Amino acid sequence: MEAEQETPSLEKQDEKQEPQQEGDEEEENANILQFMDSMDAYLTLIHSLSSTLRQGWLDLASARHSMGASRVNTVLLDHKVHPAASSLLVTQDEGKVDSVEPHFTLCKWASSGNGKWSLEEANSSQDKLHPQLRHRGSSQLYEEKTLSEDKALHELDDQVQKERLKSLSVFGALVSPKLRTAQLSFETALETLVEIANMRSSMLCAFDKVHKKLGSSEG
Amino acid sequence: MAGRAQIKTSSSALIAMIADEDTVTGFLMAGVGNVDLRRKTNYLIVDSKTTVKAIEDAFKEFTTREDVAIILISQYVANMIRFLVDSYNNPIPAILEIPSKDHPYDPAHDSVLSRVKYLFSTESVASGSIIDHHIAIPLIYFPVIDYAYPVRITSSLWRSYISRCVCYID
Repeated sequence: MEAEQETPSLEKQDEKQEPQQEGDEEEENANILQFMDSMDAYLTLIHSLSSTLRQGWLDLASARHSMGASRVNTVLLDHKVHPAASSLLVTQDEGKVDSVEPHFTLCKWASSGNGKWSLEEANSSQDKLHPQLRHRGSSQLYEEKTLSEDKALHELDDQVQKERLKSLSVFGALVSPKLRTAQLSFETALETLVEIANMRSSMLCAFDKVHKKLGSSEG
Repeated sequence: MAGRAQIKTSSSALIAMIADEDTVTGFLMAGVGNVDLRRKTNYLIVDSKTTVKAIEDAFKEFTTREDVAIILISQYVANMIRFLVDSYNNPIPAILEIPSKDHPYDPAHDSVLSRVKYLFSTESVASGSIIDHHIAIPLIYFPVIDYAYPVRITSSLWRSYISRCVCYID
């Protein structure tokens, strides 16, 4: 009688453990998939970066050839105090106990010395200048909003162009077109590098989870 | 309030560089260069006269600076201080090894890939019928680290992964 009473309780324990094991296995599979996806993306992005950098080096060499080696030189670099025009925004979730996965966002050509400039700031400045737009008809309001957004975008583009010219000004007032294309190539490479950094942190985070799981199962 | 996720945000973090002249020049044109009040820069140009100690000192300085989030280092330079690079394990700043003009990228030397390669077994691939381009990219690199078939991945999971990748091409 006692053995018969023990058997149903053991069966109940097994039934409870099965969904938990399935859940653990699904989580493990998800971590492994995330790891493999991140690794694949990491290698693909590295390959893309190599191509972009090769183009940049080629354009830089062409610019040096046309302008002269003395004009495209690190000796001319600006050693005065100045902040970086392109910087990063780093977000890190400290609430997660088991993993720390930082996320990087590139902020390109933020105005150096004139305060930060962004599309959101351009839109908000336009709204402040035209508060009466709220009282007009919806279609007219939409058109005016689109025009104000276009204007803000143009202003943003002008600001970015100014920053680009400022960056090249160390090499002289007139620079080779190849130098400008080299600048664009390295800007693209910068964007790819930030993606690589994010993929790297995703890969390492997934790896840590899989590693811990392996360690706990072996132990 | 208890249990609420705390997200730490750092704005205007820098990208530091330890690389050859052309690479540094290119990224400086992209607006990465920073010179602080102490006239310290966020880059080191490595040439034939640069000593290994100078590279080590620059690496240690950039990894301890709070305003640096990513360090770009040419892979051939990283090979000069490989022990130092491989022993670095913090998430920030992130160390990214990049190719240079004369030294293409080699995944076998990448510190991140070296760290994770132990997950893969040393057995050879059971089936060599994978010709999908999307899969071929990791398989091209993985033989360098003896990749064939992950130990802990079930066959059903591997099939589902392959089918996902085939969908990307379609």
